[in-house]
Amino acid sequence: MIIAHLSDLHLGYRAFGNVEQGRNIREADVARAFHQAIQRVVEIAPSVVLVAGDVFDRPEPPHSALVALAQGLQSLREALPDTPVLMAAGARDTPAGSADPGALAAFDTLPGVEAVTATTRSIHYSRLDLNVVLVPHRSTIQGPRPLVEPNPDARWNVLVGYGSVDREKRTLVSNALVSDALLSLDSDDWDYVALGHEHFRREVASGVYYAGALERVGATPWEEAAEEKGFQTCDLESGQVRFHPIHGRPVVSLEPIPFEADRPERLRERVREVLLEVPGGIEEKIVRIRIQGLPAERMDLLDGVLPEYRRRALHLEVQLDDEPPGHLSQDVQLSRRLASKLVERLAGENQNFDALVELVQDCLPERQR
Amino acid sequence: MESVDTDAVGADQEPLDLQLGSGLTALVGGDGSLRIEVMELFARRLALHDERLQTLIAGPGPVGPALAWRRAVRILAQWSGLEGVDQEEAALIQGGSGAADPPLWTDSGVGGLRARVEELRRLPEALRMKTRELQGLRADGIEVGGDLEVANMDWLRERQDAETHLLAYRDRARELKVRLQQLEEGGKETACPTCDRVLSERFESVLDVIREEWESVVQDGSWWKRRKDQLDLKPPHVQDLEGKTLRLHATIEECTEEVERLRARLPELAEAEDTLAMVQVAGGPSESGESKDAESSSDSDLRRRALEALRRELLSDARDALTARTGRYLNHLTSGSVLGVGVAGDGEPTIVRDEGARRIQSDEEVAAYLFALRLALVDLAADRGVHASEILLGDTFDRLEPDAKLRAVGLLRTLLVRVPKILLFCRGDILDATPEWFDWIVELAVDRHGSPFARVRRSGVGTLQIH
Repeated sequence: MIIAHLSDLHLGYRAFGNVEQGRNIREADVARAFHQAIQRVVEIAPSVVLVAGDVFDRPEPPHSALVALAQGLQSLREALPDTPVLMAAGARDTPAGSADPGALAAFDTLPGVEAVTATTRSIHYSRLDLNVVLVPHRSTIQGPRPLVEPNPDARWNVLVGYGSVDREKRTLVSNALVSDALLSLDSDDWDYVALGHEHFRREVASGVYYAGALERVGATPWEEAAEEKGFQTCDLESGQVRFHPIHGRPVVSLEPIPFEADRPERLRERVREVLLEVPGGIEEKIVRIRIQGLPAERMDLLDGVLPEYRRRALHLEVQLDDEPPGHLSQDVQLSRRLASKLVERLAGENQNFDALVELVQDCLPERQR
Repeated sequence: MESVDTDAVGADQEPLDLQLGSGLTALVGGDGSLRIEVMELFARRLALHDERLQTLIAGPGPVGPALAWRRAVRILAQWSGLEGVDQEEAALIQGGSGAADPPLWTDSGVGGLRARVEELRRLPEALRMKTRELQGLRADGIEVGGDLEVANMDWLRERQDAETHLLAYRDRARELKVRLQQLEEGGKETACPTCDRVLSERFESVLDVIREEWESVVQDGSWWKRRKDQLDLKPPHVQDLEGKTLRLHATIEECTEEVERLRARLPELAEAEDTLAMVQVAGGPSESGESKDAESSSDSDLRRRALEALRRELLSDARDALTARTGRYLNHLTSGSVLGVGVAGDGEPTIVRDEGARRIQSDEEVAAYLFALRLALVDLAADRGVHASEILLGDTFDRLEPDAKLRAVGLLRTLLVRVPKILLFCRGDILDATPEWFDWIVELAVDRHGSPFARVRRSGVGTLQIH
């Protein structure tokens, strides 16, 4: 009994504004990753396919995203006609208006597909001796508390849910700490819990997994740059979990370049070096380069350096970071720095540095309070 | 998301000045004036009468990048120690040297400017008062309008009723008169109008009955005629209400104009404050020439010049810090296409792109700049110990480009560690794009009686508790 666990497909995701043949390139990347995953699922031929939320990138997905999902489901149906596909809606699939079921609900009508968008649904497959409980996003943020229980008559009990797992999250109610969670479960009751929402793959507790997204679709893809994306399968009999990577567009986050105040001209050189050192080049990749401590008045050092690289990469993000903080405390640093500047300004006035520090400290808000 | 079911009056309707939980809240719905009302309510509650805190909490108001920039610099410098410099200088002047050496602003004729700033500082309060007066007038207008409508309906209904009665009586009188004529012409041989038999000796009594009825109908009909004539004229209380409505509308119009006029003058305050601050700085002794002219070795004179130098340093420091932080935020908002910000020689803010620095041009650039500046000020104020427990972000957000909006919401989430409650006026599209980044959604609307209300619901992602 093998189950395939996918999540966070984000079909319809768009970013960076690059368009090819009228379609956002990142949107096409995400659809491609989904179809790769479907092909791989077909090869594995699991008994059931689970999709744990955020099927679409937004509750009103573009038509192309609906087509991509329909094609994927059709491919599965043709290749694996007896394999049910069970989807629980995530936040991105759920419109704000509580009466609106969202676009995903349309797929609930397809044979062999369960697309749950509003309330928790329990499905029993006697042929597989499998019971699956689908908990969509709306069930976990709106009361009443969903009834989530394993079926004691089924050999396999699987839960598909969407949300964040936060064991520390408690609210103080009448002097007692109470969990905000509407859904509470004991992992021992389930053979597998398939979760969606987090884009990083991880095992939350024994048998409780986030499969992670198929592509790097977070607002800051750099955080996911080093993370392999894909989906996972689990053989319920042996308990063996396997990750199946999907190769999406490379995202490269380069090491920060510190600005050297004593050698400012070195900056242009370093930017070129760092960008040229990327294995395989930066062509068609999503790249971030960081420069640390470049003062606003020296931005001119970058004049004309970047356009060539911006053209070569799919997206080149140039991020300017602050200098790492120093060792001195802010107060001491500020008052002494200001006093030094006063000495410079009042040059030749026979200044007493300590008196100026005292004066500055008298004026600083910390002393005032 | 933009449409709100205003008919559904329920327990979930809350007053506008609602207390929210921590996190990022989206405020959706409501027109411009309702948004302004909410902004002012929050700013007033949180900042009381401190205009700098109001700027921190609710933003600088409808000002352009240059004015917003100068104001942010001045506020940050004040929180960094400029206030202390002012106090030290005041103490110095009161301590004795001031008598021989009057304050700088009286020298340079800045007195008028200072008075103007003082006068303009009363503007926000005047605007608030006027806005409240306008709200009261509008409520009165709605009430009197309702009363007038009811009175008009009553009057028309009564007139119609009188007319109907009059017509009925006329018909009946006409009918009876015809019958009387027939009886009088036919005499005792006339057939009874009810049983068709010859009346003979009952002729007189029947004639009397019909004549009596005719007279009664004519009498009643006359009453209804007078009543109808009376109701043809508009009743005095309806006329009073009409007059009252007209006068109220004129007052509302006048008050609306006054509110708009006061609102339009608000930017003048920032400008005047800014000019005053600049003049005070510029009015201090120059670094070389004047200080040499003074040739004073007295401690107080030296202290005064040190304070002036410190004022310059603090302003310069605030400028540098804001330039760097605003640049970082703008860099992030624009996915790195804007590298930073600067200030041109004439004090106009600039943005730095690959090809170098240039002035801010498009509406999107203005919005992104103002948004980044807001965040930078909140951030740097917190570094200086000035913490806002809540902030509101207004219409600049909706003018950002779609990608920048997503990044802006991401930035706001990171800012929650410094400001526990952030309220963002926005349209529903951003909620659809990133529902999990918002903790609360507040829908603003106006009910059928014209009263504004808020409806709060949870957003965000559900929490799963696993044992």
